Amino acid sequence: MATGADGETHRGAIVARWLIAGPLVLVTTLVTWVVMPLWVPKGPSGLDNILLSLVALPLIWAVLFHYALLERLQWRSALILFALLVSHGVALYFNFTGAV
Amino acid sequence: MFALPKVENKRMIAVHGWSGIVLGLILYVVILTGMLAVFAEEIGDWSSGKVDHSSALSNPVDSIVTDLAAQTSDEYKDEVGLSTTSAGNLSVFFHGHFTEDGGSITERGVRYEVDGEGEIVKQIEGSPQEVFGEDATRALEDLFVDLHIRLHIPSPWGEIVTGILGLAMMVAAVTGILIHRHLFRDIFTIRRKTNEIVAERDRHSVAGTWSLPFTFILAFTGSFFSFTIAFGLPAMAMVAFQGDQEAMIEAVVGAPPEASDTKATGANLDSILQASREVAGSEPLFMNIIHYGSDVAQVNVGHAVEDGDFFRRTFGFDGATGEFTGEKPLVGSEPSAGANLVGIIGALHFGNFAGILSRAIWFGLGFASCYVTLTGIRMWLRRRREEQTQLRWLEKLTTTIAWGTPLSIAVGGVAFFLTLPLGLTVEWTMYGFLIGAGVILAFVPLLTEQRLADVLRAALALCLIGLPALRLAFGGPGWPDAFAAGDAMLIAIDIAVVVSALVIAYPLYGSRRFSIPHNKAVVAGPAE
Repeated sequence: MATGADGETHRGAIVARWLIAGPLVLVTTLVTWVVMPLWVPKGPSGLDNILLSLVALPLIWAVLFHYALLERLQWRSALILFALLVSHGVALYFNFTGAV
Repeated sequence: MFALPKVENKRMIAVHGWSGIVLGLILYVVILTGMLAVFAEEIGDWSSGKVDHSSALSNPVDSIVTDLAAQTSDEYKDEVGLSTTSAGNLSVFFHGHFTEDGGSITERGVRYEVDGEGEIVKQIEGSPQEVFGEDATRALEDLFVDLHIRLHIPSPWGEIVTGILGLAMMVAAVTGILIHRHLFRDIFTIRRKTNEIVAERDRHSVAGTWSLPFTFILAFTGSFFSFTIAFGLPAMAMVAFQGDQEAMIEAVVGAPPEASDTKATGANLDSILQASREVAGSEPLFMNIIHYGSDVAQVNVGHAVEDGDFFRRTFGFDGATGEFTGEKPLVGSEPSAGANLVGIIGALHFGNFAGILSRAIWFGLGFASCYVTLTGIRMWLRRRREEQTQLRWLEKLTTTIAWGTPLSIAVGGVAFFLTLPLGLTVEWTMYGFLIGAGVILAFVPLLTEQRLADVLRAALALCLIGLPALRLAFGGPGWPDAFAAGDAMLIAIDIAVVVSALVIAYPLYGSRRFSIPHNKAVVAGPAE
């Protein structure tokens, strides 16, 4: 089968790649980012966790997006992103329910 | 330099192209207006005719504030803010903090504007938004700065859009590096004896590669600012402060001292300003007095970013004794790595860390980024011209946005000067911009792409030539006034605007294609 314009060989693979690099990366970025203030040190001013998290948002997205595009094994990128999403999602849930 | 496997390289090329095609034209508008915003203050001063840049806080203010306090309601005396207006007057804003029915805290007060003779020229009561309002003399500056920050789309959606554009710019920069197999060779390669397509690719690569670090920094810092304003701070407050935004604001700006009912005369404000002047080595920009007239009063004096400094500096003083209490961090009540990082990001985005030199470099690199964005789109379209004729409209749209955006802003500038004496600039600068954009769009279907480019070029050159003339005709200061006030910037901007007009018009000089044939209507035809 001929290689597509973006280097993929199957239509399904192209769709999967864009689903991983698009919506999955976006959701993972937002959840990972919003949980960051819970584990980043607060520093002497008590604000480092917030300020460093705010700065990190575009960088987290850029790293995850380019990783999702460059990873040869799609299942591996999906798994890593999903693991990030679930672990941070759980932390977020416990934060709002008051368990942490 | 990078040797990605063939499949990944092909994917990166596709992402590089599509990131530019989908968002490139809006991104061009944001970069172009950002380039102008580097000199926003100077352009604002130029358009408003301000040649005297001295701070109102250079003159004695203590007796003025005391007199104004005597005629101000006690409920507004909790806090006082002093600054200089665009007209060079002293602005004194007495205000208090009030708890509304829903529990939210709002600010309300009275703002006085005092001229150099000590006369009150303006007095207005209300919220900060109402008393400061929109400054009619800065409407031209506001037009392109707002376009840069939020594309005139209401908050927070405008900031979200510009934040996404920043991410697209980052993608274009990163993929641009990854797809370069010979980065260091390409950086110096412009083949002259070759066809136009290869030459344009070379120019795109050279301009793009040289401005690559700048593009990445601007994209990253721009996204940071956009997302922080749009939703970053509330989201952080939700998680770190369990939704208590007040607690977060207190942490960010520092907790104010507890109020006290014990009255105190307070230290002389002029002495505090002098002390701050000596510590900073520059003129104060603003002064803020917390719990004015009490024994726990606190005074903060802010100074502009000086050449070689990354941050604006603020110094604290005891309001009762005038004693220096130390330098205030940019964010929070204690110095921190996070606050320093945010300060560095601000300096890198605005390019104001080395005075006029760094800003001039930022302006030039902004111009290079505009060029890279447009040539990237053109190259992508040219490669598909043969097999995808349905994309011709996009070529024409690229030309329209490329020349139409600066032209619409210039028409906004013409409207600004025409309505400045009437005080209608806030509305009419925007109307001028929209009318300009509307007329340009009306011409699009009537002209071929090349003719459209020539007409827009000519119109832009004419508008730019007209701006300094209109500025003078409608009461703006002339060069002798600028010389007398020691303001070289006004003269420099006049010259820059006229030179830009000549550079834009030069390719049309003697161009046969610009001469409209006799007895022939200008009609739409195939794009060249």
